[in-house]
Amino acid sequence: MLERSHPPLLEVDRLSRHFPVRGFLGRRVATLRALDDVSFTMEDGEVLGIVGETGSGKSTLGKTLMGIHAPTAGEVRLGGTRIAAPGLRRAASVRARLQYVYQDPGASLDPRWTLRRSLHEPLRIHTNWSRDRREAKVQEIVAAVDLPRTHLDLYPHEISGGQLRRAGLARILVLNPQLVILDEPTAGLDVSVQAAILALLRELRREFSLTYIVISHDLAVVRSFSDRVAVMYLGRIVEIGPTAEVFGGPRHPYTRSLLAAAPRVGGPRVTESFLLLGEPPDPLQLPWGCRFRTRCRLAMPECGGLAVQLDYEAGHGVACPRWRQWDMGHRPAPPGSEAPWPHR
Amino acid sequence: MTALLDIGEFSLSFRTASGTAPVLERIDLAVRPGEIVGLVGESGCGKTTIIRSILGTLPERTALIEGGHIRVDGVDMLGGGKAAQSMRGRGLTFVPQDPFASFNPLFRVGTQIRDLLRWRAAGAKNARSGSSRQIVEAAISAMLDAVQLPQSILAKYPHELSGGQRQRVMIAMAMLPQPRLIIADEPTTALDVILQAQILSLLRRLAVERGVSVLFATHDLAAAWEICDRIAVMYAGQIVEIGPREAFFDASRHPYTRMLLASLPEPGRNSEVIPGGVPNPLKPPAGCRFNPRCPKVTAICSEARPTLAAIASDHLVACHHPWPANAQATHA
Repeated sequence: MLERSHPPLLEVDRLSRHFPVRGFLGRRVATLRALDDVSFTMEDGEVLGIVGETGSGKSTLGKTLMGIHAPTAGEVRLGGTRIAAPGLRRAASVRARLQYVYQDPGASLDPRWTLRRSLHEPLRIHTNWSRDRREAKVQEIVAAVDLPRTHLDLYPHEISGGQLRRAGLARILVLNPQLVILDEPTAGLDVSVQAAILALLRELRREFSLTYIVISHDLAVVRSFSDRVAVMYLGRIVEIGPTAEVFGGPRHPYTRSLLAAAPRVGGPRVTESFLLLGEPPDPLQLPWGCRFRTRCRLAMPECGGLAVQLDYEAGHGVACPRWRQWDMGHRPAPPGSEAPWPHR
Repeated sequence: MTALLDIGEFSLSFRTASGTAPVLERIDLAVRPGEIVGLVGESGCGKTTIIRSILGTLPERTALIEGGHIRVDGVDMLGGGKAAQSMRGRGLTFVPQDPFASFNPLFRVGTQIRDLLRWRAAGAKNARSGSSRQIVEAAISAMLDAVQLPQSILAKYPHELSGGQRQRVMIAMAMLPQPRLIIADEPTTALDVILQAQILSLLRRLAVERGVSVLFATHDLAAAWEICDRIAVMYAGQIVEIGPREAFFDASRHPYTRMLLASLPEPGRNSEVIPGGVPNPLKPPAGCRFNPRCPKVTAICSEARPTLAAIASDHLVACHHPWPANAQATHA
């Protein structure tokens, strides 16, 4: 790494978040390691995509960064200042710089408030501006998200779903955040609506010089939208790097399987050559060492003993000691000669 | 070859408090034996309504059949006769979007599968005698192997199963009565990419092996591309284009289909937005319902509804101004 004069916008350092699983009389019977020893950094203006299956810890990561969950271990620094660590209380000024967008941002508007009141509220909490100054800011943002000014006096049920979404985004933008975490911004949307939302998010990013973390299980969205991508599996980042490199030349066996599983219009039928069998193991009884080794075709006994760390090579990190072996005699088995189904 | 599922000129309206909504207009769709047909379209376009019409699960009080026919294997499914009743669940089975909602949470999976077979399997009437019970058990056990589930799953309750396992059990239950047609309504929407690939490959493999036809409704174009032989696109209650899988994605003719494909996120280009919004179901535009959003619109588009006509072999388009086969332009 080069010596730098200023710290990166976001530094995540060995961040963990564990949840206790309680049994009879509230006794702690197990620990769910939803997020385990995750580290990465982000530069100003970057878009980082986070992909992974359900239960891989994507949303826990977003919520721990946001301060909704307190970390169990590790810390998060925003512009060099520590903003999350075990036992650290977050200052209000930090909360304004970081915003979280839920799947349907319109749903976070109060149905009994006019849009104007909903948009003023964050400014009333975080600033001591006069009413006029707040109103000027609200007008500016409403114009930026392409919402008619007359809509400010309407209630959420009076405007369409797409406009509601814009209003929800406006509410986040009035505070001038630096980092916006988008949690599944396109889940459950039709492709044509999805395209409109992605276009809006791109435009807002340019206009307000935002940095995005995009959490999604939709690989196509992440691929078209992000500069860098991190692949998570069972609470850990298994691969991180520039989007074109990760999608073009995936290294971790899990990333390869994930990309091979995504059907692409115009591509070959993936179901005819698809390899990865089984489902992730029970998150309460994770395998030691590399967590993917129970489903990995490169797995060796030593994968269970190693503390597998992200190994960076020119900005492309992979948490697998054996990824270079993939092309050496480990050709995928032909379809039909499948391994026996792992009984649970 | 005669069609296994034959929908012709089928129109349906829903009575609502604010008027009658013509949700399906003159639907023509056929599924041939052994074929996997995709029914794609955005939410609200009428995919699920077609499926519910075939399955006979329309809300009785509000649904109004305006005309047309739906036949499965020659049996009329709209009249509600005995033949249609015995077709459902035997010759015609269903894989739902949310498998969890389809299980009874209080009974073990094995009990539910056996119950199904007692009433719905071929020759089920005799299944109470010892020897045929053994045949049923053997069929269940063979089917579990086919969907790659351990036998121990029979003793579990639905909540003990993971999402992928539940969908596998659903596919097993749809296959066990040895149907001729399976209707799948967004079977993989709730699943991750890897599980989706596993389930789609399972569905396709079993359907091809057993010669079962599948009507696969989805809003996910990539999933349709993955398993279908032919694809039908719907927009606002009309079928706009039906074509073989390759022709569909390489040489689609209808402006809506092209715009839908252009709105997919692809590396190297930004997805394009279809201007405008879906029409109000109570007052759909006259003629072609896509005309207010269409780049090629002319006067005739709002005067006459284009009929679904063959434009190449096995490729039908309902458009007054279809794109030529090789045109690259998606937006005028």
